[in-house]
Amino acid sequence: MSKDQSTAAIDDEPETRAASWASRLENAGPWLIGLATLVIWEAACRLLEVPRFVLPAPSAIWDSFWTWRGVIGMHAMQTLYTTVVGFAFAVVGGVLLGIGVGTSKALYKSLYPLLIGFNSVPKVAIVPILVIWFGIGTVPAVISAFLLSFFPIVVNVATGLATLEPELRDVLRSLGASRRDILLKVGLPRSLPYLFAALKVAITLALVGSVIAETIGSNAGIGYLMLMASGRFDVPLVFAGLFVVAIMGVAIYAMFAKLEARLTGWATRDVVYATGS
Amino acid sequence: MATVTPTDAVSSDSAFVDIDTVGLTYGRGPSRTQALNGTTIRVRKGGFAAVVGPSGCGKSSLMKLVTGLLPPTRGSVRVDGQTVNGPLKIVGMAFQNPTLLPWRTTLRNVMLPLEIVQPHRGRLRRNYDTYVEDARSLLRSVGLDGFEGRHPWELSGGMQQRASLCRALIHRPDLLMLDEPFAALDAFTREELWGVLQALWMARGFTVILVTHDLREAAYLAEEIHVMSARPGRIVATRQVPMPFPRSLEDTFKPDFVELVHELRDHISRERQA
Ligand SMILES: Nc1ncnc2c1ncn2[C@@H]1O[C@H](COP(=O)(O)OP(=O)(O)O)[C@@H](O)[C@H]1O
Ligand SMILES: [Mg+2]
Repeated sequence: MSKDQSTAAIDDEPETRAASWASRLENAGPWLIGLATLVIWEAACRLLEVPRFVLPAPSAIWDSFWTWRGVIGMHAMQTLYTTVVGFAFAVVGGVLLGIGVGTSKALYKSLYPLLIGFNSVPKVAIVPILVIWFGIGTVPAVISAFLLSFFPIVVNVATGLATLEPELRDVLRSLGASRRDILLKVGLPRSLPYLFAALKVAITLALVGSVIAETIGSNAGIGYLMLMASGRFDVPLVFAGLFVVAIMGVAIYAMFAKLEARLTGWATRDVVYATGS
Repeated sequence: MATVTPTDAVSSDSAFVDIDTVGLTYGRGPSRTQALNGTTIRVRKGGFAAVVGPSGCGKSSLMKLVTGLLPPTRGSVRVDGQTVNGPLKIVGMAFQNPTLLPWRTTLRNVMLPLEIVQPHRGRLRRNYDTYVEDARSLLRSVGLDGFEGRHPWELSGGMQQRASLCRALIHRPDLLMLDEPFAALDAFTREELWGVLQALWMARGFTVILVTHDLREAAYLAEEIHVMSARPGRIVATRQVPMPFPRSLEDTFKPDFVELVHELRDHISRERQA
C-alpha cells in the first residue's frame, strides 16, 4: 500500500522561533503603526502650532472625548443600534435574495441588472427622501444601514452558490439529489466563506450608512453629534466622533473575523484539489 | 486477438449497459456542437469497459448520457434493462477532480451519498453505526485507515482520489462510472490506484465504465476497450483484453500487452489525424 500513510501519526512540528517572532511582529503591526501616527501627529501639531479648529492634536481630541464621554457613549449606542438593526435586515434579506439569484437563472437574469442599478445610486441622495417618508430619527438610519450593506451580501452569496463545481453537482444529481438537497448539503456550506467575507465588509458599510443618515436626518447618533459639534466649531469633538466610529468599525469587523475563522476555518487553509500526490 | 465489432462481444439482451447508436448535440442553431454520433457500446453485468479517444471527442458527454444527467438527442441508453430517462441511483461516479467537500472529514465525505440515496437515506439515522463501520472498512480497503477524521486538504492528491472512489462506492452501486479519475496523479500513485480499483472491482463485482486517455491504464484494468473517433465521437474499434485477472504491473510489460497498447495507439493517432 502507499507510503504516504506513515505520515499519519506524525504531529505538526513546533513553530520555529523565527517564525513565531515574525508572526508576533505581524500582530503588533497595526498597533505600532497606529501609535507612531499618533505620536507624529501630536508632535507636528505642537511644533507647527496648528490651530485646534483646523487640526486638533490627539491629546486635545482625547480631552474632548473624556469630557464628553457620557454624551458620546449615549450617541454611540444609538449608532450601534441602528447599524445592527439595519445590518440584521440586510443579512436576512441579502441571504434570501442571494439564494434566489444564485440558484435560479431566471431570477439572476431578471434581477441582476436591477441590483447593479440600485447599487450605483449614491445612498446619500436617498436619505433626504427617507426623512420625508419616515421623519427625522431612527428609521432613516436603519434603512440607510440596510441599503448600504445589502448589496455585497447578495452578490457574495449568489457567487458562492453559482460557482459550485459542475462535477460535484453531477455527483449529487446522479445520486438523485433534489435541488434542495444540493443547496443544503453543498451550496450553502460552500458559500459560507463568501458570506462571511461579505459580512465583514457589510457591517462596516452599515455603520457608514447609519452615520451618514444621522448627519442628514436625525437627532441622535454619532453622526448627529459630529454635525452639532462642527456647528459649534468644536473640532476636537468632531474628531473624537470620527475616532469612535473608526474604533466601532474595527471592533465589529474583528468580531466577525473571529466568527469567520471559527465557522469556516476550512476555507482559509491551503486547499489543494487534485494536484497529484 | 482479432478486432471484434461491439455487437459480437456482448449481445443486446445480456448487456447490463446498452448504449445503442446514440447521438448528442449541444446547443441549437449555428452554434451547436455534435458531440456524439451513432455511438454503440455494450457492457456485460460485472464487466469492466474502458473508453479511450482523443480529447474533446465526447467521452465525458457519454458518461452523462449513461448516468442520465443528459438525455441523448438520438438513440437510447438502457441500463439493467431499463431505458435511462433521468438520474440513475444505482450509479457511482468519480472524476479527475476528487471534488471532496473541504468542510467535511474524509469519513463524512465518503458517507455523503448515504444522506441522499434511498433507501440508505431513510435508514441512516437509525443504523448510523453500521454505516460508519461500512465506510471505515471501505476506507481500509483503499488504504486510508487512520485518515477518517482528516479533512481533504490534509490528504495528498492520491489519497483524495482514493476517498473519492470510496464515496462513489459507499451506496453499493451496480455501476461505477469513472471519468479520467487518475489523470491528475503522478505515475507511481496512478499505478498504485490501478491495483486498488482492480481489487475493489474483483471483490465487489460491480460494472465499470472507465474513460481514460492512458492506454496502459485501459489495458491493465479493462476486459474490453472501445476506441472513439474524433468529434463527433463514435466507436471505431473494440478490443478484448484477454489477459486473466488479477493483473499485475509486471503484466503490462509482457509482449502481448505491449503489442495491444501499440495497436490502440495507432488507432488513436489515426483518429487524431482524421
Ligand atoms: N455543456 C456543453 N455545451 C456545449 N458544448 C459542450 C458541452 N459539454 C461539452 N461540449 C462539447 O462537446 C464536445 C465533447 O466534450 P466532452 O464530452 O467533454 O469531451 P471529452 O470528455 O472526450 O474530452 C467538446 O467539443 C465540447 O466542447
Ligand atoms: Mg472529458
